[in-house]
Amino acid sequence: MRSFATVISFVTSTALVAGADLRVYPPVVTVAGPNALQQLLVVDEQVGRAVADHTATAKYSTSNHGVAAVAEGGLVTAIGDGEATVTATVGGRTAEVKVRVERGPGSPGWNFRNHVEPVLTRTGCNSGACHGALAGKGGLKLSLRGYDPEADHFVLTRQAQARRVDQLDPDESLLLKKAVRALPHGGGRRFTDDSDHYQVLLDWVRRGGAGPKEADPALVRIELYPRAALLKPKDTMRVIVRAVYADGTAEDVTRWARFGSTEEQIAGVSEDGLVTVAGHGEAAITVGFGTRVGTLPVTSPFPAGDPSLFDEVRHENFIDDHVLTKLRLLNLSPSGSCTDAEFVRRSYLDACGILPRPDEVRTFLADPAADKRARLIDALLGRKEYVDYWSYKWSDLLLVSSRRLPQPAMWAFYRQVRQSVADNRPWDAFARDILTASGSTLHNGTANYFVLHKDTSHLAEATATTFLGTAIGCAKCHNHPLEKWTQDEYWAFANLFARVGLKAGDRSGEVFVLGRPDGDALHLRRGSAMPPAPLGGTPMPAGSDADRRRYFADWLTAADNPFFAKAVVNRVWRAYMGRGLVEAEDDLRDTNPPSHPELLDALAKDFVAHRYDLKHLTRTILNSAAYQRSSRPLKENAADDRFYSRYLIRRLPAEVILDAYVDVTQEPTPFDKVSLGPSGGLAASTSYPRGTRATELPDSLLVSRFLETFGRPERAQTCACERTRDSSVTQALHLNNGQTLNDKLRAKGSVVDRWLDGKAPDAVVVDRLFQTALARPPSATEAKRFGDALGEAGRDPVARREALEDLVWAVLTGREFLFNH
Amino acid sequence: MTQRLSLLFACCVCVVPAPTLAAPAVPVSAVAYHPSGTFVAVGSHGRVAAFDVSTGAMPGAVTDLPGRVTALAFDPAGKLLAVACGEPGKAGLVRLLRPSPDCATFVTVAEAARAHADSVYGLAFSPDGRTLATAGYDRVIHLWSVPAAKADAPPAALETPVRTLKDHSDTVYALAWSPDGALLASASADRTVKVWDAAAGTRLYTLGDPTDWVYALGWSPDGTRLVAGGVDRSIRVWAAGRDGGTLLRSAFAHDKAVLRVAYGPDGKTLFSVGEDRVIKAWDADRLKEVVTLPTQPDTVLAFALRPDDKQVAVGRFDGFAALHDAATGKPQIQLLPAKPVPPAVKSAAPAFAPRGRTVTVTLAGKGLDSVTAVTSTVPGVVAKLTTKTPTADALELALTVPANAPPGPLPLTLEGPAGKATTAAFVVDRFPAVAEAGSTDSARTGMSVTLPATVAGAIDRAGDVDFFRFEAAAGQQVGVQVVAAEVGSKLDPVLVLTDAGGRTLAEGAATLGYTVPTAGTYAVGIRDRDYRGGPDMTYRLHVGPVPVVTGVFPLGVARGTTASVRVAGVNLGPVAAVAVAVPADAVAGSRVAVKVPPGVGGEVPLGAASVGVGEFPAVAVVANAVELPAVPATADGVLADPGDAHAVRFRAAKGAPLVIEVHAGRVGSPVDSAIEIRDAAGRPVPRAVLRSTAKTFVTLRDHDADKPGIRLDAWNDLAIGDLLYADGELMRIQAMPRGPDDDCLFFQVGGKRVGFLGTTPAFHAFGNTLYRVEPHPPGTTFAPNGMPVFTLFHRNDDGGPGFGADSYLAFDPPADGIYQVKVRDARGAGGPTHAYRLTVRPPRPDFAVRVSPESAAVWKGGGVPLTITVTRTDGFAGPVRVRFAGLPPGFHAPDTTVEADLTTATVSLFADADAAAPPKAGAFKVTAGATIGGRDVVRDASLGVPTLADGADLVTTVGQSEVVLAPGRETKFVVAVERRNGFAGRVPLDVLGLPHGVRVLNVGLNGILVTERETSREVTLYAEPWVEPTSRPFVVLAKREGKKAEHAARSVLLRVAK
Repeated sequence: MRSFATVISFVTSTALVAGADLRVYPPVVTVAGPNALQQLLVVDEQVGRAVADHTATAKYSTSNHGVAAVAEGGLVTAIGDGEATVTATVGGRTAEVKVRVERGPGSPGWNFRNHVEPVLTRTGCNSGACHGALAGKGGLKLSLRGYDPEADHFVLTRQAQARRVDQLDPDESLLLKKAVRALPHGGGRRFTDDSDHYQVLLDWVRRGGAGPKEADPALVRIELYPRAALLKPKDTMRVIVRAVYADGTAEDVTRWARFGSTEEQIAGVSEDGLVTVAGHGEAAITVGFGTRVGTLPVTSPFPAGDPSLFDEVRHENFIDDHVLTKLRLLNLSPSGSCTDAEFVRRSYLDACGILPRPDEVRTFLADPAADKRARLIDALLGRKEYVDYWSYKWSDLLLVSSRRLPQPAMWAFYRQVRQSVADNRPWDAFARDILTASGSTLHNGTANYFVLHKDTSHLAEATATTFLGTAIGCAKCHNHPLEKWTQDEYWAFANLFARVGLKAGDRSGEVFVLGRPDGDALHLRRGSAMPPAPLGGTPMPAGSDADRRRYFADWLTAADNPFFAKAVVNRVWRAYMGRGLVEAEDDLRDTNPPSHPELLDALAKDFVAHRYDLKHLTRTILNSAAYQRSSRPLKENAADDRFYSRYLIRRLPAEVILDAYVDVTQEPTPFDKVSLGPSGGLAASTSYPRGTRATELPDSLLVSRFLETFGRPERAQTCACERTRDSSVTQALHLNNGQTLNDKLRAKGSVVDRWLDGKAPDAVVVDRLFQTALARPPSATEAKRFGDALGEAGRDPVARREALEDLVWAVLTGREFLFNH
Repeated sequence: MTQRLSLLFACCVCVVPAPTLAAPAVPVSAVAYHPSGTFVAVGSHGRVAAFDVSTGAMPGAVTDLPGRVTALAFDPAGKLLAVACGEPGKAGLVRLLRPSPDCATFVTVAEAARAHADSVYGLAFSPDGRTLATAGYDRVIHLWSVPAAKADAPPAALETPVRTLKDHSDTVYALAWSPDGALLASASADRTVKVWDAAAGTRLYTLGDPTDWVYALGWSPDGTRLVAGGVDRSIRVWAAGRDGGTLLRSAFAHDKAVLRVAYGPDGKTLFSVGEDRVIKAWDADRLKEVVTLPTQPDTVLAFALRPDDKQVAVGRFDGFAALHDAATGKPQIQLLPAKPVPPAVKSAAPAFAPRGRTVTVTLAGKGLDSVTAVTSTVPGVVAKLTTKTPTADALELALTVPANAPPGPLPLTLEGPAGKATTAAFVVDRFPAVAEAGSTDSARTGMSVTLPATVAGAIDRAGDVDFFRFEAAAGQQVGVQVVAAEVGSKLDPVLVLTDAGGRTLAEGAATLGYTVPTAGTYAVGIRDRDYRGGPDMTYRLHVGPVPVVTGVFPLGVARGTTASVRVAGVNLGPVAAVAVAVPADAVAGSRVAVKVPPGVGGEVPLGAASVGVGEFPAVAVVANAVELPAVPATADGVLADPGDAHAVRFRAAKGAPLVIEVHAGRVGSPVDSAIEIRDAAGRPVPRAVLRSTAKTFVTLRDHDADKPGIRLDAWNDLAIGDLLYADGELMRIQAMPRGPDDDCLFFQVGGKRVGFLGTTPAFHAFGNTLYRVEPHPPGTTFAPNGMPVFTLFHRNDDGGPGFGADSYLAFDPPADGIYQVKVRDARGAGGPTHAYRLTVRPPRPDFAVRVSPESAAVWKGGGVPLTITVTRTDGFAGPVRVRFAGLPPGFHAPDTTVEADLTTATVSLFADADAAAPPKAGAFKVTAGATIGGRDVVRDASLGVPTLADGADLVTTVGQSEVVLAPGRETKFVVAVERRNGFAGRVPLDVLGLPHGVRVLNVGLNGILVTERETSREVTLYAEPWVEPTSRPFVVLAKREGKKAEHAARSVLLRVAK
């Protein structure tokens, strides 16, 4: 069976590789340290993507056996200083790689930080389930995944009367005997005594068990090979990992690296780094070594569809370049363009959170101009509802609410957010307004950001999530397990926010935010302050009195900031396209790569070039053919939900549905009660006069069972996860049995009343209902069925009213109404 | 007549009714009670009004009746009111009205325009309500079928009578149905009473006993008696039935003709009314007078008895209608004439006018028809009544507002015979007014106005901010004044002036001034301070050449000197500076007004202008720096631009401590100062190093900077007096948490936490670390202990209690030399009015003393707690001895001490059970003494003489007068509470005034509680081991829950002894 699979794989690979280049990785092998081994990778490569792995089957030879030996399977072993060329031969084609060995006299031996810790990490010794647990295991406590080499070295060599390492008889070291289970070990056998891991540890002990040193070459980055892969289900591909150090050396760390996959059902990876493709689509193989991470994309195209579908597809701007390139690569045929009728409803709902009025629909449909969609987009961006809707979204993000702010402060905050949206304030200026706010929280509303996040750590973490789209909280206590951020970097970052002072204002509910002349965030483990530094940025000069918030804001809003623009571009993209280029929208990190990295880069670059103009960004997205595609799936793209081959159908947000109910029924939602928190009950509120729309609310505490059920965010923590977008049984029950909609239908003066009073003919009533709720006339079948239902009710007011209520209810609880499509 | 009226009503009507106006009184000619007894209908010429019998309010009236109303009757169900009226000699009209349940409206159900040929006097519904009997001057009796009172039916005509009974030979004055409805009796001027079979329409018999006209008639409730009275002044009672009547009794009842008779509902009382204006109540059986009511001042034309016979309604010829208590005759409510209404104004239209104009204003309100003159206290205002005739509801004025009238409400006094009323319904605007219109939500898009302008608007919903855009020329001085509370608005305004893009240029509350730098569009914004909103939050915003003072410089002038004070502002005219002379004996810190001359248009500028009285020579800060010539001295500066920092240099000598103090916020400047001492080279001067020795965490919630309590995660390493450092604040523990759900209390003054060593109280977030620290001299080094070491510099933001946002630092110079104080705004703010005064001077340690309450009401035989509070200045920390002098006899308050470092002590002010009421005046005072720098200093606080209070619900007693406690030990004493006056609730106890380090141990979740079942409770005191031997009184008090009263025991002496 296995050989059969290999044959198949071989045959298909050949088919694929027409015009491919044979490549050997790494391009150059250098050996300078104790690590004498380098696994080679031999692949066919097309346009930068490996399409077949020949490593196991290639024939190898070396030009100088005194320098390097190469075994079957491509494992190179350094023998002595000098240069050699290793040649790989596959089916008559050859490729070469230079091997340079520069170890000089005497081997430096294994390095605790760069070799011993990675062995312990790779073999799971310091994992959270074992000795990396907070309390350790069996009396041995290591830092989680080796974030504290100094402490780990002490623990292994000196703690408990130095029981774990035997300097005199290294083979008898408890460390080794437990690991190979020569002695009982609760963690089982981690490796065998003939393994490479065993040899590294033993050798380290034999050479004296030296600890980490300041002079140890610092890990700069890791390199992954291949850079990308284009494969088919059941294909396999080996991944090799090289660590690059600050002193310029590099080595093969594949055997100590950690592997994972973002989409196991598309491509899985073994703990040795062997990728196996399982399905169609794209997965990222994530690789971690030391404090660094990397990914490589594995693409598995869908079965070929109808290529002619690509010929008809519209192309509006650079977004379409990137989206279509990806679709072609994946063999995903795009759906056609949506109709004007679909577009008008879709764009109103996405940009402004409102339904188009029937007359607006008519005007748009009747407009013969070719650029009418672009003009509609411009018009939408100028509407008051756009300001309402996006103020609401940014208020979600910034946690504007009376949950933790007094009413006046909440209003001050909301008003400033709203004014910024109304002004289309550039995003960098908006961020700066918030992050450098000083003075009274009632006069300068954005200063409330610091009232919401009083604790320095929380402030740092919330700021990372809000403006960098990434969560750094894990690194507070230990190096981030999924990201490159170390605990040191976390505390250097947090220290940027340590000099925000809060003191009591002149009146109750008012807080003065000001810069403090002193104060530091103390590193949780070290107990001392790290020099304040942005994530991956330059630390502030020691002893600097400069305003740290300003320093951070300068870094954040610099044109070359690698995170800031992408974070907001991804949020806006997700709002319109239904799925983030990075998903979740606030989980930007190296190990969660975007579906279209080049597109995200291009969008961010364009956004920065246009001075952080959110309306420009929105216009670019809405004008793209990708946004304007039909939501109807083709058989070729039915399986796709992340490459934008069609418009992704999505449930409308809670507030939009509720406001749409008001628009259709003409009965406003009362917002007259405010929740006083989990234990406090309710209070009457007169702050929101009749007619206030849900998207106009500044506060998340107004009592509304409907909004709660349909996923209104609590605005309690900075996380996109606060808003529920899913459909649930409770929602269905609320629509069926809840009072929200029924109350509106039964209210005096509602649209039902008017239709009763106006004595409009049945057909007109049905037509109006469809036009207002669905932005389209009823189909002939619908017109007949609805008309018949009304006709059966007759002219008796009670029966007719009931029938009318039923019809409106039926439309307003239907999928077509509740979803944007 | 007026005099008698007032005598009659002296007991219930406070305002003497004014003499009636020229119009003659309208006689009240008919009254009838609704069967429910809640309303009474009163008829007069052309009108029937319904009144609420308990309030006298008039919910409704019918006013379109032709002629005088001669009779009224409600049907037994109360659904219909029959009205008889008409023109005498021509016709008698009968109308059936259906009143609404609240008698607010009346719908005509049916009408017979010519029911009778002349006036109708008799009007009676049959008991079943189906038949209405009418009779009158035309001598006939008609029986009408009452139409069913169906809703919404159009008025029907009462076609023809069902029956007409024609036997009387003269006017029929009264009709009465027997209670069973079978018989109808009629009384006539033909000197007879006739009894009819109502169903058959036949006369049964005639009673011919009366000797003259019969006016009045009535059946007893049991239907066995018939009573009648008339011109022969007699009342006659017959035993009457279907078969005939027998005269039972007769009595001469009145001096003149008997006008009305009526049985009470139980038939035992009979009421009569005579033309002699007397109303009498009779024992019906014996026909003896029971009550004779005071003689009415004029002829009674109408009378009715309330169905419960507790009240009678009387209507008189003089137009008077009133309700009287039937038993006593006491007037209860006057219905008519409506008491003359003093004028009252509800609104004015227009409600405002700019100055220098004459406008026609219509005032709306009540009683305006009696207004004879309108005046105003504002000089120059002339209000003339126009030729238009005023009505009660409306009055038209020609109002002349002089050009110099102050903008805001214009009080108008309306005078009339019923009194004066002063109203502020009218508002004077500075400029022609425009109403807020369209979208005003943003400075970018707000409504445009042309200056000068007055904008009338409202912050009509929560979160609302209104912006008005205007064009201004370069150099134009824009003054803004908002008038809100003065005209009854609930708005607490905040003003802002921005550029066209919304950037804030100037801020203010009620006024604002700004000089426009470049021509262009600007905007004025107004909002509520707390972002509230509502229809009652209106404002009038005046923007234009309004003279406004925005600030003065310097903020103070040394006493005994004259200084030129620069006055900043807009539209002030040519004035730039005002000479201010401060007398040498002025009190330092007091205020001296700066007399700013009138501004543009000769108007008094808005905004207070005053300077503080200083003590030391002052120099001005130039180019952000100044050197004080000598110490003590003051530097005056302006932080003109955001982020400005000034340097004030001074010479100091080691061993000569100094105080550095800022006056800014306290003297009206917007500056929130922060200061720092640096050496000559600009390096911060350290004050102390803090070595951490333990740590704990903030838990439960975020804590704000004001409260003395912070919830700690753990405190087993902590003790009273420990210093904790967190978020730049150094605080000191005053009391440990009393249990797991209690805050740790820190040193506080007036309920606000105090920062030590120049630190400022800050917010502490949930989870923040608090370090217990030991302060050491700067430069001290320590062996590492795994905890951080903090260096404190000579820095201060807020100076502590009494300083507000102003800064204060004590400075003990480490070496001789030049130092500098860096002054900046803590928030980085700056602007032309951001002035401050910084004074460097030697410390003057001192204190002041205050006692609360200032005038105690002391329970007889009990005590109240007196809290002595010491305000310490310039580092004085020593103990303060407190004595009470001039206590009235029988009152006791022991001497005590405010301990070193602390600010309060509490004793019990106790009065003996037999204490006599103290004299009203006396010299009761607290004398507080301390030794400061070797000198004895005494400060007094005067107190109001205590008063005695009776009726305590609790008496608190401690069995012993002295408690002895050893440091590190516990002791117990018993507190007894005696409940009085039926009080039986639980009693929480409190113990106040304990020495620092002594606390109550056995505190439960509810404090120290004496439960409902207990009358006493044991209290345990504990002294920390470090408490020094001391002896001082403390107070035990019991709280009366629900009344918020405190009942202290007599002070107990606590002796801490080893």
